[in-house]
Amino acid sequence: MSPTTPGTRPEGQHRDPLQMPENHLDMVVTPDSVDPSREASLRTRIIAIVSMPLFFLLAFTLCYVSATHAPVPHDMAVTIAGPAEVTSELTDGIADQAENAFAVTATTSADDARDSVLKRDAVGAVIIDGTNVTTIVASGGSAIAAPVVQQLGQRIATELGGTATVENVAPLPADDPSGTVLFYFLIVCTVGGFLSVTVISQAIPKIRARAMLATSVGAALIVPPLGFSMVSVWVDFEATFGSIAAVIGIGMIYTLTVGLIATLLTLALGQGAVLGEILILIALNFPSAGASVPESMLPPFWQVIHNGWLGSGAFESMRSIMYFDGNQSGHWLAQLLIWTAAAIVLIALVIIVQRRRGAAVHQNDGSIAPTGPERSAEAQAGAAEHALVGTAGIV
Amino acid sequence: MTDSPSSQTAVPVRRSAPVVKIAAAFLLPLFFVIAFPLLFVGAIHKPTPHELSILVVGPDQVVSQIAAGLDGTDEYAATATDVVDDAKSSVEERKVMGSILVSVDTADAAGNAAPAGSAAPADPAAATATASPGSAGAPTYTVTTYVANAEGRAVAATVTAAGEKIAEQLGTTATVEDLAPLAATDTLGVTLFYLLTYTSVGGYLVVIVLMQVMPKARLSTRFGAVTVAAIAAPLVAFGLSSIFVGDYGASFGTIMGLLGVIALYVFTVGSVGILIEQFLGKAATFGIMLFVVFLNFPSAGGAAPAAMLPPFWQFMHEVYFGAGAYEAMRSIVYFGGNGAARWIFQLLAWTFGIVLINVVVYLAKTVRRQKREIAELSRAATGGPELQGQSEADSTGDPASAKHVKVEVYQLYEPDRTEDPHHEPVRALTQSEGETR
Repeated sequence: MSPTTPGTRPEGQHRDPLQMPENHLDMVVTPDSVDPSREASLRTRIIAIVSMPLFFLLAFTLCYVSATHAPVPHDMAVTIAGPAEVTSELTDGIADQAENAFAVTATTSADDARDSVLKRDAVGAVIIDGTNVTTIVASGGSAIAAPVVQQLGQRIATELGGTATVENVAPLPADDPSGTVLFYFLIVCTVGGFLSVTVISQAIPKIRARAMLATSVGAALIVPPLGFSMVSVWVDFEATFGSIAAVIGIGMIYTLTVGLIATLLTLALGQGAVLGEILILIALNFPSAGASVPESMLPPFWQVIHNGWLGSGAFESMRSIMYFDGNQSGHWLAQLLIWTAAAIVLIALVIIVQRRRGAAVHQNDGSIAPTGPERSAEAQAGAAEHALVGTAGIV
Repeated sequence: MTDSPSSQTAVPVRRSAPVVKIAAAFLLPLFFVIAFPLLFVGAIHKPTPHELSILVVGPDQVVSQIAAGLDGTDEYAATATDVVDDAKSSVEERKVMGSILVSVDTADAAGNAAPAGSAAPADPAAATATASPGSAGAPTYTVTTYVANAEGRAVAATVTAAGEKIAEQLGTTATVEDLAPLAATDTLGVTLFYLLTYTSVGGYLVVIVLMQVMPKARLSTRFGAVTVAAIAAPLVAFGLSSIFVGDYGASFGTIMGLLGVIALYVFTVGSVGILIEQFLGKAATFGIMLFVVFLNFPSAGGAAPAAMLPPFWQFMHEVYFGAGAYEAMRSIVYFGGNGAARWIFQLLAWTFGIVLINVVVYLAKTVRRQKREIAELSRAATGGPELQGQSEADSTGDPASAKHVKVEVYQLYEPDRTEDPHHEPVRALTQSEGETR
């Protein structure tokens, strides 16, 4: 045996510099995994110490602050019901005074206006009956958007010389007056989903894709019921068993999707998966969900993200079920399921590609080479802790 | 600080059973799924006023009853005074969350001096809230509510509601004056809290990454990294957020003060992380999540104002380091620095305390480790079976009674024991120096 201290860099192996082979990031979470006799190279240390915190700072600050710092209505859908000549004049006036703030639909039917809010076609409605104005809001749709509609109704009433009364057709429960608890449930599902995949990929260095898929399924079955139970310690949603079960069901689909995406990223990116997870599942996902700030008050870029991302698909479908008798939940559930299906297809593609590549290497070298998925998973680098502590910053 | 040379003892590489390893790994997501709802959601899901401090200003015979009525509830901690100037100054100086000024004029005193203890409306706008004159001799009340949206929009709304209720009881309406409005680019009042949370990540993530890439880093190295993070993180986070939020309309000095407080906070967070790591080792993530996130963020007063938190979290707010930082930031940006000293002191107490404990713990662990190593090497020097060759610088006396021992152990030969299932490979040379007593 050589009398020198064991080296930290495997000899004779050509490594991808991005894989940082000598660091300890791939074996921290699991017990007894740190070998204190090994230390990372200076380059690895600098890359890790600087890049990780910097990435989180950049991603969170840019995404969350840009989305939520000063919410104002952007094409907020509002229905105005009343005599055609009155609503026409009001619609023009609103368009002139608050350009692009509201997307007004006029109708002569008060019932249609109320239904448009209940069916989530509009954020709110203003019903005009002479000088009496009734403002229809839905705080379940957003506790921030409701006052905006209320102010609009008040201004219309003042203009008509009457008074405005407010009717909340989808109120929030007394235990959740700000309407944020469903969002916290979404956060629990997100972190529980991708963290489970991340830790299992660290605990089993040569983990196979099917083990990660099984973990995703397991997380989907366990995390939402457990998380909702914990939330229920504080909050009574005042909903039926069926509604609660449906919300947990949506949470299961969402958690599964998150787990699948984490699996896909782990297979495809290896050590870089944590950055991809933070970007896709947190930095872009949470601000666009429509929870901290409703879609109608997000900046246009974030409105586009909202209408295509998985988090908003889950959150809006939960919101529909919990507060709007399921109205429009199908649309949002479909948005979520597209992500689920896409993740499954992409995982299959990555596995096929990596197996073929592994087989090609095997033929060329005449030796047994690890297949792509296993090798990529092995390169997972302390992702669990980074992801968790990073996520904590945004909640 | 006495960083001893890190001695490389022969460390066997231990591996847990796969099942235990996997089960232990899942503790991390399980911890989040349980702790986050219980702590974070429990604190802020339903902001309700608890002992919200409010000042009622006006003639004693009028406001004492009003204040007593408010103070008798769990929602408010009300005090009364007849010093009109306190109505504004107490809010601006952050002594109370809001104030309600009740001015009284008697109908027959119109045009004459107000009766003793009464007050004129504090500003012209307040005059519009004057109650309609009643019958001759009946008093006329004017109610002005002073709020500070920078204390939290929910707090301002609660104080406003109290003012409206009092005005209604007095047969008038209240006007509201916001003495510390939020910046136009911070209408929800959340951006300072974002700064706090994101820079926290910069503070403790450095510690965690350092723990992984340099598991044997000296204490000075760790504090050095935390210091760098404390300087860089506020600059990066504020610089990026200013793209959207701007500078709050504040002066250069104000922003520098803000950045200084954040830097102190990040350093404190990093120091807390280092201390937790010293105690918990690889399980430090759990401790950091608990002490820096789950206990710190809800109690800071950003996600929900302190006056609207449950009593336990209000207590945490009064003592915890995140609250010290956040309230100091709020004072600096929105209250001209009023009240900042008290909160900076709270933060500083943590900073010094944690650094001190870190040093003490590190020294204690170092001395203990050195004693253990010396004892092991002394045993080995008397004929331990594991090591084949060894030399001692001081082998003349009894090693146990030596004042100073320097030992170098050389791994010269290790037989091939691959057949031995209990064999634990010796991985490193060992050098150790220290005192025994």
